[in-house]
Amino acid sequence: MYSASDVSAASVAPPAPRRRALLVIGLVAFVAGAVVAPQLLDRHGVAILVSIFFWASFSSSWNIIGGYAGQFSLGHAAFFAVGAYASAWTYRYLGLSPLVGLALGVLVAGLAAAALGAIVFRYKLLGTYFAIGTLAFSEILRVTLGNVSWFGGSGGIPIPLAPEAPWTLLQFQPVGYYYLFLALTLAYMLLCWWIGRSRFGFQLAVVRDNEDVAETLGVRPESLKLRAFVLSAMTAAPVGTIYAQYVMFVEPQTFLSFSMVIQVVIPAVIGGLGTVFGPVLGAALLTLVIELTSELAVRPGFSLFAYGCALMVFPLLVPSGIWPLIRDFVARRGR
Amino acid sequence: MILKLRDVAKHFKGLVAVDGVTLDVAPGELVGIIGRNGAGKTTLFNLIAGRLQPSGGRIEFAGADVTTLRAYQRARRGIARTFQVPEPLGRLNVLDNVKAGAFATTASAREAASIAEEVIELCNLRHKKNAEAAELTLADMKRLEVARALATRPKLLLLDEVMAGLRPTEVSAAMELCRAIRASGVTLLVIEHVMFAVMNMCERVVVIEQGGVLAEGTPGEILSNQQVVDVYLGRPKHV
Repeated sequence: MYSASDVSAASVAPPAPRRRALLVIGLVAFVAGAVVAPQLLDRHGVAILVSIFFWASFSSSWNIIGGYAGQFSLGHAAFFAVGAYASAWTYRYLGLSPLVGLALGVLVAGLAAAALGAIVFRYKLLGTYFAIGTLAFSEILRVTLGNVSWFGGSGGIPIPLAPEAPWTLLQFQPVGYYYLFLALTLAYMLLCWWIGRSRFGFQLAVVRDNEDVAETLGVRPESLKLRAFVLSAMTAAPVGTIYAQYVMFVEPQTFLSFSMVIQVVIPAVIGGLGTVFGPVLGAALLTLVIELTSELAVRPGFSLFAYGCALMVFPLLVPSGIWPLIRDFVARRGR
Repeated sequence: MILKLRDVAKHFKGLVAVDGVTLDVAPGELVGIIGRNGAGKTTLFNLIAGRLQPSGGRIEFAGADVTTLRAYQRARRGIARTFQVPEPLGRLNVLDNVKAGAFATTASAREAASIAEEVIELCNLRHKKNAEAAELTLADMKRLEVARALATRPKLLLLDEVMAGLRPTEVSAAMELCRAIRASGVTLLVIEHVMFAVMNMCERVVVIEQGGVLAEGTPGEILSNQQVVDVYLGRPKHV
């Protein structure tokens, strides 16, 4: 009997019907709450929601290579920047809809990841070396974009505001971006759910655990990792496109800043690597930590201090992430 | 012949681990490989499975030259193996471990699950289906190794000391399993130190010594081979 698994092949497996019911109830409640939420909030509240789902979608996208494939990429911001630049550039200089730019970004990000991945996986850059190699890629892109005037140099590319813009220009009130990031997050959650129960996900889990065993099961580790890397990169590009429209400019210092490079990793790690809900939970929690502590405003910079503390405390308390903790708790009660 | 080794050799820098092994295995055979620790048995397995590339010689499997193929390519052609030290995928439960093997021949999750269930039943792991692989006893872990390899639906299965460290009752269960696997049409090559098992279930035994084949024959022939007795089996002390 096959039971759908909501996480990467790893499961504590409570009885299937109960599990499925829980999942459906959770999802319906989540979607309903998420759709209604902005109506009940002021402008600042909506900005917080945008931030939560921006990080949730971005980190879910990283989760494919970092969590499911277990390859700790620090180059994810590069593919995000590719998406942002592709749409900003084609809109600014060719007058094309950012939707065209979005598609172009997905394509370019996929090709870039394929080229980079072909090198790093072929020469077996593993663990720390993979992290450094991908970080280098993102740094090279940052320096390149900052120095090539064709891409706006270090000043970047401003995105002009169009009066009475049609929806194809992706220019909305903040609440519009909230719904876009929400939709993107849901799409990526669905993608991750599919990965977790598919052959692709199972084989990724084997490669993540032990490449020697993977080979005995007929899996070619480097090509499987490459596929995960390309897929992960392609999903980063739309996040970049939408974020660029939201902030109305692109520039290397923001889109490839060190904090962007690092922060995309954190929600997935805190929430639970290789899980569908982990990055979303992590993004919500971390955004709320920053927001709530900055409203306390004890001292300037206090919120960053609190954020830093959260980053240290959570992995100590729940090393495997928050979502696995909740899932195991429910599974135990179900027995 | 399903497997043909011709003068297969493996050198690690100066060390000669496998030194010109020639061996034929017919389809459906259950062949035992014995020999002292360090004789080169596991290295030979690594060469057959493609984890190591031979320094010389030729390996044919199912009529095709597979000498230069990598492990995953040989696995796809039907060579499966277990590891001497069990390598369970610790973060997955037993069912998912076996399913990961079953995905070698099917892309459908439903089909993989049904293959896994079938193999779990055969390997007597039903009661441990939902247990975390890392928490199993040694005997169950070794069974899981066999189950995961078997789920890839191999033509040839290489078992590396699946009986070492097991209790006598567990050894007979493992022998039963080997017989059942063979009855299902899979050719078996087993490295084993448990003489009782080797002599009772194998129809042919190969003795490896210092990287080469010292002797080859039926269990009876091996037991009465003076060289094998001197080198490996030893003389009963009170004769």
